[in-house]
Amino acid sequence: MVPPVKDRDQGIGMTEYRYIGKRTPRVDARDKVTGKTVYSTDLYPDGMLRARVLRAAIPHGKILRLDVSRARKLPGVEAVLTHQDIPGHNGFGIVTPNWPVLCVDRVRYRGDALALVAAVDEETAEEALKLIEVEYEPLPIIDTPEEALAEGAVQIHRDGNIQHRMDIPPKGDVEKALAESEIVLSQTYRTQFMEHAYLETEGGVAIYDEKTGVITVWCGDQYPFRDQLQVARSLDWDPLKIRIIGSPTGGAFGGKDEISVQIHLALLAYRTRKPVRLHWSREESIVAGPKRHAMNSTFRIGAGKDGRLRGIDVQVVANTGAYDTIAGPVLNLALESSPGPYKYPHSRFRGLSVYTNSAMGGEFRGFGAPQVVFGLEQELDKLAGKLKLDPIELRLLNAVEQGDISALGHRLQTSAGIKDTLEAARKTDLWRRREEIKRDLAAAHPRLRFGVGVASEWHAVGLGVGLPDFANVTIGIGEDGGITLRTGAIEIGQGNLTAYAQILAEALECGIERITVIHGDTFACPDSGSVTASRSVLINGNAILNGVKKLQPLLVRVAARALDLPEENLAYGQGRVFSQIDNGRSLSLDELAARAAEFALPLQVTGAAVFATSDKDFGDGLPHNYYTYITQLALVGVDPETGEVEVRKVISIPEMGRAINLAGVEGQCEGGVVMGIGYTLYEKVAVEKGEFLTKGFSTYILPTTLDSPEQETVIVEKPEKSGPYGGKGVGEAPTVPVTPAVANAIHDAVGLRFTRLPITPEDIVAGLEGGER
Amino acid sequence: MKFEYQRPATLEAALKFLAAAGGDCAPLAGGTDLLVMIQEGLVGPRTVLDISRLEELKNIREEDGRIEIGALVSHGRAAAAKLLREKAALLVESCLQIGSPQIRASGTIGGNLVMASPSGDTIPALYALGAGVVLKSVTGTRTVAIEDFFTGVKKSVRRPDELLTAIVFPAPEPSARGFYNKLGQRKALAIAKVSVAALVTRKGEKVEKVRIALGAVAPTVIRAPRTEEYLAGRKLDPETIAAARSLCAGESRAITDLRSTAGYRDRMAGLLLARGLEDLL
Amino acid sequence: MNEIAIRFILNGKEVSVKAPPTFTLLRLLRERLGLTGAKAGCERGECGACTVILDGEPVTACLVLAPQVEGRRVETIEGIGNGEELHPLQQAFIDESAAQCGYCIPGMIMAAKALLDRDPGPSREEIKTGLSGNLCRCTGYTKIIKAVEVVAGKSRKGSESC
Repeated sequence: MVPPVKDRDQGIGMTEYRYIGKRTPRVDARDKVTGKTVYSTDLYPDGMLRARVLRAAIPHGKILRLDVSRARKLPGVEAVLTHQDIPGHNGFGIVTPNWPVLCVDRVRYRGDALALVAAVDEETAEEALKLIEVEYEPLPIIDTPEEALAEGAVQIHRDGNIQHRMDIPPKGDVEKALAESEIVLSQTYRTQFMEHAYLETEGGVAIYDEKTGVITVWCGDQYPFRDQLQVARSLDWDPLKIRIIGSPTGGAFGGKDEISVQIHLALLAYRTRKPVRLHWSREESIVAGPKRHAMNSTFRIGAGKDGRLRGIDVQVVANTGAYDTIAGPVLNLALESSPGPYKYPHSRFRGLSVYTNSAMGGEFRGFGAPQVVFGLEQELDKLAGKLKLDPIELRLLNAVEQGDISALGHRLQTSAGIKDTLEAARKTDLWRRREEIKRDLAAAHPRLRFGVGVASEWHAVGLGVGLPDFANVTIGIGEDGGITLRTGAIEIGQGNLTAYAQILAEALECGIERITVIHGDTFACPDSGSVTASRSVLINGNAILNGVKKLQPLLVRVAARALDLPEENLAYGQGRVFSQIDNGRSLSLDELAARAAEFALPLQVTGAAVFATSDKDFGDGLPHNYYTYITQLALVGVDPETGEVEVRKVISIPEMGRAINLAGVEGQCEGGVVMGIGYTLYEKVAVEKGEFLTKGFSTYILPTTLDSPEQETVIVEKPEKSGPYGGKGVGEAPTVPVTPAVANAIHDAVGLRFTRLPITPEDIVAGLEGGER
Repeated sequence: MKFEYQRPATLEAALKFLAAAGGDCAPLAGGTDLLVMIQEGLVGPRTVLDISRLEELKNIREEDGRIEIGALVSHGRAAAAKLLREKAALLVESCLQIGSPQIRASGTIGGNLVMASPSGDTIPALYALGAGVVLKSVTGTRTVAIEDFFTGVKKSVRRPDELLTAIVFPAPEPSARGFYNKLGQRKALAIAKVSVAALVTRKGEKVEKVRIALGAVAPTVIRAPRTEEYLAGRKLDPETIAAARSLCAGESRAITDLRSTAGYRDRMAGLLLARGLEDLL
Repeated sequence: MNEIAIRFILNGKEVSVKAPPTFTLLRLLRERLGLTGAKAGCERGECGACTVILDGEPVTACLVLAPQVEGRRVETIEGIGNGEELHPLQQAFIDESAAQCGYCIPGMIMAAKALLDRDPGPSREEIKTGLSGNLCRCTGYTKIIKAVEVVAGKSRKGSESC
């Protein structure tokens, strides 16, 4: 009998899958719940040294003298390094490597590194730091872009204080459109620096093997192959002799895509010839590592009385801190995200990214979108209010569909389910019965007022047009039938390894327990790009399917030889190779594996995939070709006397093509929501005159179990034919619209609008006293 | 971190050690504040004196109308103690508002006082209960009224050779009712932005006596004497409560810092009192 | 720095180990005993990632000095299963997909175990309070709370797990 052959490349039909769309338990769960998972900061090799980094004592100044001689003489100190000890390029950065590995003649923020110490124990390393003498000539400290752009402001870099400028080519004539609009709204929104606050701070271990010349660095990471190049560039070393092992990582959220400890560790291991361990303290992680950019976004939006959006003009100014890392693309994505998934005939988007001596702006889940969506989605709510339209109706009226031209002017070529998410939102009990729910709650809690809010987002998936946006994997079948998948992707908690195993098991129609995923090691895996931009399931998934396509003919070849049948009469299916002319004859994967070994035919393939890109190219990666679409609903209770806000319930309605793992999608939504609530109500990296006022978890306030809402996830599927089994990605979107959804719910409860984050009880009490802010 | 570690077997030995150490010695009870301060480099004692096993400082008892709580009773144990649940519910509430289950399991009643933070959760409750602080040294024992114990932020009258060994307070009259209300930046692991404790004794419909304490609105926890005076002899009706609310806000002397603003704190001091009183109605 | 010998009961077995008296229990476990399940998340008692059970109570191992555990019982994530057999909480965390990056999970499970050891059938609110000293940045807590509820529900008399 001929086995049914699934349409694996399309994967968008109604096929019932064995793994795709199921709650497959995570492949790494058992080790994680037993404490057996070894993170890079869990390594304590024999004979290792402890490293510490000397950070700038002032936020901005010239280094007049740096004297490490006393530190070097301290017993137990094995190395003290300065910029003079860097063989190669003294700088790193994902896009522009101008962030000094160790400062030479100037410090530009409190996290700047000046010297490295390696000593026999923590206490000695700490002591040695105190013996390093630095003399500074202070320079004026710039906290904000306004100060940086003022006339006569001190220049933080030779080329000035503007790090990046982006003007997307305008579409139509926005000024005319606004002038002719019956309703025009305009508002500036301000957001704060936000800390990733992964529970595992940056850290790791490096070992230099003199015999092979290989320097191995274990570290929290998102892209080991880029780290490999960055380490090699600074050490002037052969990249092929730099081994980065970055997986698993104890949370990253964008914050570990950039270099943290890697170059420092490699320098010290090379110099001392001993294993070296460096693990940033929580304070160091907050002060030195990149944050979500603080941004000011100004919106001007015009609409007709019919509720149709006519034009949008957005200007964004980002506080990027002292160095570049990836600030340009973050600003660009803020601009791309700012109109939301809506149609506007006229648009203009302009942005500036500005150097300061404040916190370092960098990559953070959401990548510029949370800052602008906070504003846009409140403006849309205001518009609905003015027009007396249901907020969901207003959004539906303007929402894009696949094939439409976006606000930016590119065609939306891939699945676009924003309308489906809005329709699903409208059907929820929370939305339909919201007045009744609020009434019942108010009766039970007379001191509180209740509100329900909605907000949506489109979130770009992938790096964007013109950027190297690829993944490679290898798939091998061993003699015992075990399947090994190798990917350079890092498991940062998002569950991608499980998704890959599901995709591979589904494609090969075999049991998932057969599959071992080896990940995140530059010496053991191919380059799969960064785990960033919600991209890793789509692109690694496609690379896996590409590999399977190459693996099946190999299996058929083995079967042909084993069964002595022509290859064209054999086909792969249900985890076996079947004969199509000879009923009943087939070979299982185990048999095929054994026979392949016997024939010395290696069952080993490489799979590759590249992102399909947009029909337009605005430069610098804009625009994107894939988007996650999402609508979120929030129910809040506000105590108008204390100003306290309790988010009681959030419903996330994502459209990510197809959900590869249901529990994984829910997990991304639930975690993203609480992170978004933190951004909305509690979290702020407070920096004044370049000094950090928040240095730990008693001042940087994360939501606890008691501050987190009940949650529901309603998954909307709209399979994308170019994604693996129709999947796109869902890593970032769920943390974005929750912020304006909560803000809109607060407005529904107490009638106040807030244009600044976080929204504190103090703001609400002041607002209720003084009217709208 | 650099220090010597000593673990005396008895209270007497601990006191002798303290007397001999001449001040450069930090008693370690729950460690939830001390070890943080050492790690942050805020204090650097030569010796850490581990008193955490002195069983004689872990009792809770009532004798002759006085309740005594050993300094080493943890917040968790205090919150679970039947005697305190029945007779000092406001203190139990303040213990439950501290940090997290882990902090409550380790942190002690005595430690919260010795650290002398104006936002310490148990302190306003103990003010309201009219507590005294028992300080022991090799030269003798003295009991200091809690309001005289604190002299400023993180400062108290405890001499370096003294150990805080117990907290004592008169068992409230059975009709007395109290509360501890707090606002923090979140619902757990929260340092008070402002807190209010009060113990109200009523005769018939009228307030006979009330003691009100405000936390995190001055360098030490403070009483609200004008509000107390106003309430004495009055019936607790909405009008009286409203007047007490604004009086109490006026007695708050808060500052603006990272956690909150002066204006908000002052206002909330009044509100938290009013809500506590309303809940007694 | 001079080291002292510390003897205590670790996961049911007596151990003797040398360490400087300034070591925290967390460093003692991780650096001298090779038990890296308890994690360093803040080292200030503010995140709960190092939670272990000391004489039946959940404590943050970063705020306990190593010599303080002399003669006492310490339970860590490595000791709560039975060989290959998982503790019911561990199984529930797997079944509910409660772990993401997993760094907070050992501390979370130990806090949950301390709670259930004391009261095998806590309510949802009691579970949330019991876990309120453990920060998680990945999961939003939903599936963690659910996992503990599943185990608690099995102990709650006459109540269905919800």
